[in-house]
Amino acid sequence: MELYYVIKEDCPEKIWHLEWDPKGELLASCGNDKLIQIWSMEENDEIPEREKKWILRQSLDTHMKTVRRLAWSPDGKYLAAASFDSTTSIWERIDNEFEHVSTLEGHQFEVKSVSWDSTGSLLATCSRDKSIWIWQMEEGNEFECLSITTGHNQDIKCVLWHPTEEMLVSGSYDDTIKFWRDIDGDWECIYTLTGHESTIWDLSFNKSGDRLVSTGDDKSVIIWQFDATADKWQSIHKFTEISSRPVFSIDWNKTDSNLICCGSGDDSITIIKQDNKNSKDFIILQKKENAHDSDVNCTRWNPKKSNMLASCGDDGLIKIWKFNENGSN
Amino acid sequence: MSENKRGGEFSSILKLTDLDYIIPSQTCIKPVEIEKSAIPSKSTIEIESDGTYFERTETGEKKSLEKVGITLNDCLACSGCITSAESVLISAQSVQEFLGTSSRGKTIVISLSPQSRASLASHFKISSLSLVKKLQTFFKNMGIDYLFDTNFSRDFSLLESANEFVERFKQYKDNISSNTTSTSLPMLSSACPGWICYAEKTHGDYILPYISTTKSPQQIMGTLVKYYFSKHIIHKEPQDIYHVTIMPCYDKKLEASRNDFYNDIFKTKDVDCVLSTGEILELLSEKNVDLMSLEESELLHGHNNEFFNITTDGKDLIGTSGSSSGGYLEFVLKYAAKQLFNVDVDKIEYKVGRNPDFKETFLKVNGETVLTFAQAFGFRNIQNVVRKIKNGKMDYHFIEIMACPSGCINGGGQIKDTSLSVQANKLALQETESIYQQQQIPRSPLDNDYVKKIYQLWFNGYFTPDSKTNLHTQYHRIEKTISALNIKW
Repeated sequence: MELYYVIKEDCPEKIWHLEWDPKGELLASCGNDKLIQIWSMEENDEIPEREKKWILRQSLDTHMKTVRRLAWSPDGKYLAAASFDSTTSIWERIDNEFEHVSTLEGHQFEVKSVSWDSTGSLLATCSRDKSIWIWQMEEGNEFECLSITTGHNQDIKCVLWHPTEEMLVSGSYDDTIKFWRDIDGDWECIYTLTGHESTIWDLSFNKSGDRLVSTGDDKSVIIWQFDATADKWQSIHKFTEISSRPVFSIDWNKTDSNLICCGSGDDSITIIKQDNKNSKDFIILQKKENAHDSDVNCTRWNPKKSNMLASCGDDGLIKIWKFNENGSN
Repeated sequence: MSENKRGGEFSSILKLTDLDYIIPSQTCIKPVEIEKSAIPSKSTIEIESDGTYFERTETGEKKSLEKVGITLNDCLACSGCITSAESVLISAQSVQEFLGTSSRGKTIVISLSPQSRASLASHFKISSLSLVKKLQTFFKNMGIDYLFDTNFSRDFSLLESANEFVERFKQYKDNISSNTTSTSLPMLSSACPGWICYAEKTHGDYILPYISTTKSPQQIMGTLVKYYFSKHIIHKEPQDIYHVTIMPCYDKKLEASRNDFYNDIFKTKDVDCVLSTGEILELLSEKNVDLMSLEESELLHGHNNEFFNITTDGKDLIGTSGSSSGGYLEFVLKYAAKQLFNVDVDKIEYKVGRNPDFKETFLKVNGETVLTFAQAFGFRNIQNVVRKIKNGKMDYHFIEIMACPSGCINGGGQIKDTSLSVQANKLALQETESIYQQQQIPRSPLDNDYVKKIYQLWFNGYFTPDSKTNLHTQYHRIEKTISALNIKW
């Protein structure tokens, strides 16, 4: 894995999260500075990609506290930000400028995560208040609250919609992963997955949605597969200690479904590969030590360039990586 | 018999506002007032191994310091958690409190809510009327002679709400024609303490002026029992009455504890103790009584018939039409249609919104929509109402708001079988709702002669200064506590 670029601010603060827009052209980041920042590679085609700089396009400022997570709508037109000020802000992209169009209020405590469903009409948020809120986007950038659901015993760290079905998955400080579905107008828990021994920090589906990867404070990564016959999500592989410290981030490559990346508190980025011969076998392909000077908080594959990876950390840096399967570290 | 943890039965709205969860290391901030000595000293405070505090003076003397006592009132005054600590709830509002010393030597009055009796009737598989008569026998055997019906006090609540709305609407129209800004519509109903508590804690900046000031049926009954019944009927002082309500809702315990409903002169609360529907089963068990083996006492006894909505022959219970949470939308709409537009509305047709807990209806006069009313039950619908009011996109004139999905009939204090599936519980809920609606004769509050009499004797009409003093209340914005916690994750 090769470091392409380091985005460095003058007064860096911890960066918690980043997300590529669906076309893989913009990178949004957020962190302790309460800002949402939009980055892109400079557009001069005469410069080789290797030498292009990453430019700050816009800084979005509305939150009173740390911005914890971001989510793009599937068409890339909207960006949602979950903040510790207990609100979620919605930004609309108009001619490549982002305009604050709505604020979702109601959570009692920090909003930890936000996610758009595959149609771009439903938005889920979760919070330290142990609730999951589901919103329907209406005309005129309006939102209607469809559901306020409880079921986790503790702080909910992340929510994620299934890539094809109207089904939501959540990971919590109560060490469980729960799946939610709308049953007669009420969102109910339909599966509860146990296997982690501590907080779940991140979740990611593979492209087709029949597999889920989870990671957390117990330093493990678990790969789950849905067994339609048994109507159950089964753990098919577990890396018991993939890192010497908690693993904070996990992302399943959507263009090369054999690849998973994760970032952890031991400052490293790990690449996991699915064995082509035995699809239930996964190996650690690469481990990039000291990828950041401190905790790696988030790693995300570029949705279009399967070998491009972005990471951010407590060191206040954003790094762009080029992944070579057989390359040197 | 092991103690049940009752805190879990508050409405979901209060559960979501911290009820069951106390932040690690976030401590209660209630101060204790210590009498200071005139001369500043260098005394120190020591903590004994059993947790008690002592002040050790310079001369070495030990002076024990008062322990902090937390009441529900203190919790209401704080924007932080509402503690569900079992000891607080048990000591403040419980079967043990009811059976204990607080009521000793006092005349005990019990007010039963129609939602609770529907739940109990469903549980025991008998009619609502039989249920009430058996309860009457049970309470008489305990030496309690007065069993009242909060349908009676609800008639007052409906009349005041309706008249309040008419006044607000007139003011609203006046403001429109004179081009001044009015912010008092939509009027939001006020009978639900979960909704009130939530509004005060989270949206006090802008939502409180929209809320009707009319007291809930429980608190109006409290006023009637302590300040009308006491004086005019049994000729006792208010503090010599111990008033208990039986409610479908744990949040009613919080409501009864508000400072607004405490009288400093008589040193008494309007409602001394709130028992949930489920706690009646606990009470029966505590007394080792099999309700089904009790005979049925006649309800037409002494003054019970005044404070109980029942037919003169004692064979049918009387209630209001509309929702099983009080029918505020229906009565206010019919009343406003008559008063404002001289239209008699017989039947109300609802348009169901995105979920069954949201409904709306309209009044049209000469083809023009002049009134738009809605019913919003459950937390998600409250969120949508609050959002629209805040964004200035609300086009209703009146909204009946209840914190619990399906309304009070589904209150946290109702009898529920936790072993049943979600679907089976929904069916049980429908049965209770059906019992509620079908085992009563609907009657308008305007046709209650006992209500008319009290209005004439005491209030001199609807929404008068006297009725505003006795049947209305106020709300208090609760400041957010600023937590020093630095949350990392």
